[in-house]
Amino acid sequence: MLKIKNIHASIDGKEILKGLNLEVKPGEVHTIMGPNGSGKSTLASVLAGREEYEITKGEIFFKGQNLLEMDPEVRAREGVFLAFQYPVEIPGVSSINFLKTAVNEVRKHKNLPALGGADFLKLMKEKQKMVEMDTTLTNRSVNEGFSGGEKKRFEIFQMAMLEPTLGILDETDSGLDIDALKVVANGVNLLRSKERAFVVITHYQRLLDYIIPDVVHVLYNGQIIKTGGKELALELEARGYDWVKEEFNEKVIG
Amino acid sequence: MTTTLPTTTTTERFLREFEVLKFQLQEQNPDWVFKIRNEAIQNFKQLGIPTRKNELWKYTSLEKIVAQEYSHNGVCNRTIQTHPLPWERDGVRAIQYLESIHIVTYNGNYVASLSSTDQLPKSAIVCGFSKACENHAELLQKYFSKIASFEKDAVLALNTAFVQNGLFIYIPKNVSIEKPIHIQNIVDNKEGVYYFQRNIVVLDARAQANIIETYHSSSPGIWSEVNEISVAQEAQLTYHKLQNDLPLLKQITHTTISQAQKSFVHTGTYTMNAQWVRNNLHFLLEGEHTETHLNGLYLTKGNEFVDNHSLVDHKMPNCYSNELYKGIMNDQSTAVFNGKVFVHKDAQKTNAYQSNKNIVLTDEAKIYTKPELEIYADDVKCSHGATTGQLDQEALFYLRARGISEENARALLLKAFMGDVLNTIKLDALKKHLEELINKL
Repeated sequence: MLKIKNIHASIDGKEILKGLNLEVKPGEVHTIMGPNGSGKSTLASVLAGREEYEITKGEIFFKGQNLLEMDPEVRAREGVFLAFQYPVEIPGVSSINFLKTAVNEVRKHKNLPALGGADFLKLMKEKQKMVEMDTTLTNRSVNEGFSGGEKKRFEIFQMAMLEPTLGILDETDSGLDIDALKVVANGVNLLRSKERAFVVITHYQRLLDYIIPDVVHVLYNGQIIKTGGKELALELEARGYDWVKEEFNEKVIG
Repeated sequence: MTTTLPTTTTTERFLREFEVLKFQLQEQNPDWVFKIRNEAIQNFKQLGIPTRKNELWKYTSLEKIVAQEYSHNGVCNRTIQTHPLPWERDGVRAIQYLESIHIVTYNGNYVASLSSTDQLPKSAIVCGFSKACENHAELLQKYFSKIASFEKDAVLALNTAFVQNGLFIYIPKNVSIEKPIHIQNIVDNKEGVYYFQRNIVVLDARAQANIIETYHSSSPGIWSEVNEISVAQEAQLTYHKLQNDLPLLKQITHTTISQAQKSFVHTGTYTMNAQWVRNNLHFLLEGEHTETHLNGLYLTKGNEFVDNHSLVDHKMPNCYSNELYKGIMNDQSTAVFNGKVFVHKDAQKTNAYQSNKNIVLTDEAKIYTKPELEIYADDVKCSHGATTGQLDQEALFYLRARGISEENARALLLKAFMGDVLNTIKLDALKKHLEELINKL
């Protein structure tokens, strides 16, 4: 589904991703861990299509198509969804109007008829229940005045509404207490299916107690330096990153 | 000396014009009016057309505009033309769904045949300015040139000297006009000319009215409109000005609103699809416990120019004023905002707020903003501020990342930006009308 080949990305002339490779198949959950500044969020931004990043080398294919040639909105319509680390507050844009516009633009892309008011509200209610999004959205602007937890839950709710094929979670767990974390994880688990894949970017192993990954990658200095199963996350939690770095350096030098 | 200068200044040309028209003007109205005209022209002679050296006209080259128009037109055309009326020329001219008491002025003249004032109570007065000079002289003398002083204002002086016609609206004590009064001002003439219009609006004690003024012209020229509005104690007025149909005409408006104690005034000034506009809006707070809201929205494109100057003069204690103006500048257009709040020494417990926010969409578009606060009292709550920026790129990306096209995402964000001005409009039909106009931009 997603093939990242030797991607190099820089911002303001500074190279952040230095030859990153990653392949994600339908139904899989991949976790990307790594110390601060290793390039985790850059990877999320590059996948979603942030224009500040310059791709100097490499390719990304999504469902066989060249992802890098698509505008952010086309990527979204094709099924890429980024749950933002810091969802932006947009005063004056009604949450419901925003969701309805997004859902219907995605539907249009898929040659589906636009949802009318009643059907849309029904869908919203259903998905809201599914991801335990209890925040009232009526008469509220996008993310405005939402607590940290509410913002993250709203991201997962949007994902449920848009039904992407690839969900990218950019440190969705940061700043969440354990109850909110469980709700978010539960929402993601309910969205797991054999067609849908996830890339979960996180700092802490904690989230992985609730979202069990198929593959765990360690990102360091713009490259994936180690890949393993879910037990790798526990080992990282216990031992930190230094041993992985040393192992990698030895391999490079050796 | 018989030699003349190769170029005559615009100020001199106006003075000469006055001499030519003097007898005609003298005949047109009663003596007391001519006396005021004469004082005004003398004052204008002292002041002259303001240049950019004048702080209030720093960004607005009025002298240049006036000179240009003069070169087109030669003389100030004072012919009153009422036929044919371009009434049903296009749909822009009406506000759909608005049920209103309709008043039409054509080239500055009140057109009774097109107005529907029969729904007004008998005690209320609506008539042309010239007619009011004759029929309601005693009343009019209390207000004409009494609310807005031309002493330091050349444009006001010029309007006062040359005023052709306009409206006189008087709402008596305790009379509440439920339906909005829509004044549709139409200027139409093949030749570009100067129009000097004067409207006097008086709300007596505890009266209530909603007034909407719209302006329509496909002609060139300069349109000077002066509104003198008196809001007596406990009276309530909402006053909306919609300048959206002025592709060629240059408009200079001046509105002075005087508020007596416990009165309430809400103004909205909305400018779009207008080539060149300067609005002066002055509030004189003459009584205690008044409430004043000034809202504005200006959307410029092409090489349009819109300049809003406001003054809130807090003369008395315990008054509240709140100003919010927002602008979006596109292409090579220019906008100016200058808002001044003046709090006199005795105006304790004043609450005055002012905010101007702008979005500049291109590298060539310009905004000059200057919020001013001058406070001489020591127990007040005042704030002011101005922001200018581009569209929020983070928000734009967020919307696009959800599948919303860049075009729709921009539209959503701009609509949101304008929302807090539009949401202050209580007349749903007017709000809807504005939203439709904005969507068409």
